[in-house]
Amino acid sequence: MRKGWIWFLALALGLAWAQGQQPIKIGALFILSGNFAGYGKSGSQGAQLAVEEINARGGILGRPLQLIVVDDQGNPEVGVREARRLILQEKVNFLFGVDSSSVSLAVAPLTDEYKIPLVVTHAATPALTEQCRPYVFRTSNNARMDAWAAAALAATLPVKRWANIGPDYEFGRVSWQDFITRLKQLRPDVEVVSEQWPRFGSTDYASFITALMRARPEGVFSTLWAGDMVIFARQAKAFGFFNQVRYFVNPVGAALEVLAPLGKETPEGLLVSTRYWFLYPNTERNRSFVEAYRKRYNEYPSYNAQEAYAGIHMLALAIQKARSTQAEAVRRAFEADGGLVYEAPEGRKRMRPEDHQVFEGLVWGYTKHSPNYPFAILDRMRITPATDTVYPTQCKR
Amino acid sequence: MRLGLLFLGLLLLGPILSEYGLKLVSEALILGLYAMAFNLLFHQAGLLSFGQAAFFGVGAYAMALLVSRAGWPFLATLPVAVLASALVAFIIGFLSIRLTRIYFTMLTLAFAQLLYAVAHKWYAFTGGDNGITDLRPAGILGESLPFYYLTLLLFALGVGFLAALERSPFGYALRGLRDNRARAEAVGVDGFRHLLLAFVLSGALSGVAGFLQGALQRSVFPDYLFWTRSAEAIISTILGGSGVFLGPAVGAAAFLFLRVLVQANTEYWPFFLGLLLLVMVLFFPRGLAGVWENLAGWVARGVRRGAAGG
Repeated sequence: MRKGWIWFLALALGLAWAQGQQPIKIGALFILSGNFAGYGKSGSQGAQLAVEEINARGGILGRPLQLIVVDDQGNPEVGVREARRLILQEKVNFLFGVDSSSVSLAVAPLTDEYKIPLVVTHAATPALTEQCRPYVFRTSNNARMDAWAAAALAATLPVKRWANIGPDYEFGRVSWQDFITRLKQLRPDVEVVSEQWPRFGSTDYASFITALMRARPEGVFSTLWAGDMVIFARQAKAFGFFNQVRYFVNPVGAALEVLAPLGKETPEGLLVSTRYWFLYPNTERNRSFVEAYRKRYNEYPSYNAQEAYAGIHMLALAIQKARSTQAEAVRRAFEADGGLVYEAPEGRKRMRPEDHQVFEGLVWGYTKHSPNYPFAILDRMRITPATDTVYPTQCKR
Repeated sequence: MRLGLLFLGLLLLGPILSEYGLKLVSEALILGLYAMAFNLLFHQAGLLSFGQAAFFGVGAYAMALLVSRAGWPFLATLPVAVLASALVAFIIGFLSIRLTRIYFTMLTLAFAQLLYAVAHKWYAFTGGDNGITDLRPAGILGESLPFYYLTLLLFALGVGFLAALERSPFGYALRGLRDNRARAEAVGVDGFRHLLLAFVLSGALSGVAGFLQGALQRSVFPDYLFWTRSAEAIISTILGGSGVFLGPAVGAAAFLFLRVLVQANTEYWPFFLGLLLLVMVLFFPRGLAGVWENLAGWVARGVRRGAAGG
């Protein structure tokens, strides 16, 4: 064992000497404190796993990757301050991650100012990629893609009377707008019977639940997420809400950050999605990723973990292709040949060259309990192909 | 005189500082000016305003809206930012100063939260929680060193003004009102007018801080109006000590540097902040400035005792 270490050290030193190269530094911003710390934790774990994989193969361009993770607290001002520290003090080559939409929008202008590319793996506001910035890339799907996929699915359901309950901020509002606009294009006969907007981070949904039930919708669209969805599901179940409403559709409801805390309390038959579901697809690629992640962290990979993992690999591919860490070269590598393609655990990710948004297939399913898992899993899975989520962009390259 | 030396020192510091150092010291000066403006109300007038974020945010949003929507050059928005925050301070002050103590504090908090809600919800105008981004000033002020000097200039003007104000009859009148309002009014000081003027001046200076902070951060978000922003002024003042003129500015710098330092190494900043406040309030109620004075006192006494012993 001891000898192994010495050998390893000697090898590492030898490599470092032979290369004489500095590591490629990636500065990651995640929420590591407060209510959403769970998302940041899984994101940084996924990114770290990818970095370790790449370094075990000898790094990129002969240089190892180095990941520096900092806590942005989900606060745009802290995000900018920390991003500047990463760029100016830590001399990172890339910025990475970002959970909160407002932090991503605040940090984005720095990419132009310092010519440091930013790869976003979680923040989902469509506005980020619609700004058409040269050095901002998003390797995860955004809220509009989720809403369009939800609309494509909803159009196939025998539901005419729709209602909404979503968090009262940009994400909730824009998602509902995108969903209902798209649904009305696909199914002009649907009608909206109620819209409820609880404050983001609410702990009491009783009045919203009763208002929804009074409106007698057949289907309810919701973008409640994280702790909000957990609390809402518990309270709505007590009201018998899920018995009355036939279809409850939530594009972010299958996150492990929701299903794990709910455990066996999750109502069955909710039509939910997530950006990545660890049991889909049933491929060698995905199974080995899940296994490696479980071995390393002793938990199942959540969507944020897989998106960050895939984001690091996509960035590494782009650097490899560019044969440089320089912003302009990396941009061209992301855009070239109809957009960079990466086979992620969740399937193929392709970057649209115009707006630097990745498009991918999305997985939906109905919640169901299984004796093999302590939380609900997805049953009767339905896959929305990437083509159903491609919305037009105003960006040009 | 001592203020002049301080400004001179900061002036000479500019070219030595790294790019990152410039950003940090600029931010410390901005937060310092903001805390000093708060302390005008807190220490001189004896008013605990929990709505200081309103003026900070209005200054920032006035700049951001004019730059991004109307295409104004950055510096040209300064007078508007000052006037807008002074006007908002006038309205809020006019309605709040009639109340005293906790009622005054709560009302200022309520007004600030009201403005926060407006900025947060009114997407068409303020961009809601997407904020307003790309506020890097065009031309030379987009660079760190010139922006640092602009910040220093406005900080020096603001602090110099506050120093002059403290020694003016107006300052004496404010302190008189703070110590014994009935008595001060009995000798002919118009309490309401004096306090309102102090409120407006404090609001205008907070607006200048917001104006600078938005440009430094390149973006403005509703957080600028949130109550935690008001708390930052209070924490800086507690940390630095409200009883000493430059205390809040020292506290602001310490607060910011500590925060950056802790943040760079752990994710437990709120824990450290709580601990720090506990220690300051329990053991050093006069803040860092008080600690400094105590130290100076001990040293002086030690020297005397040493002399006596010899």
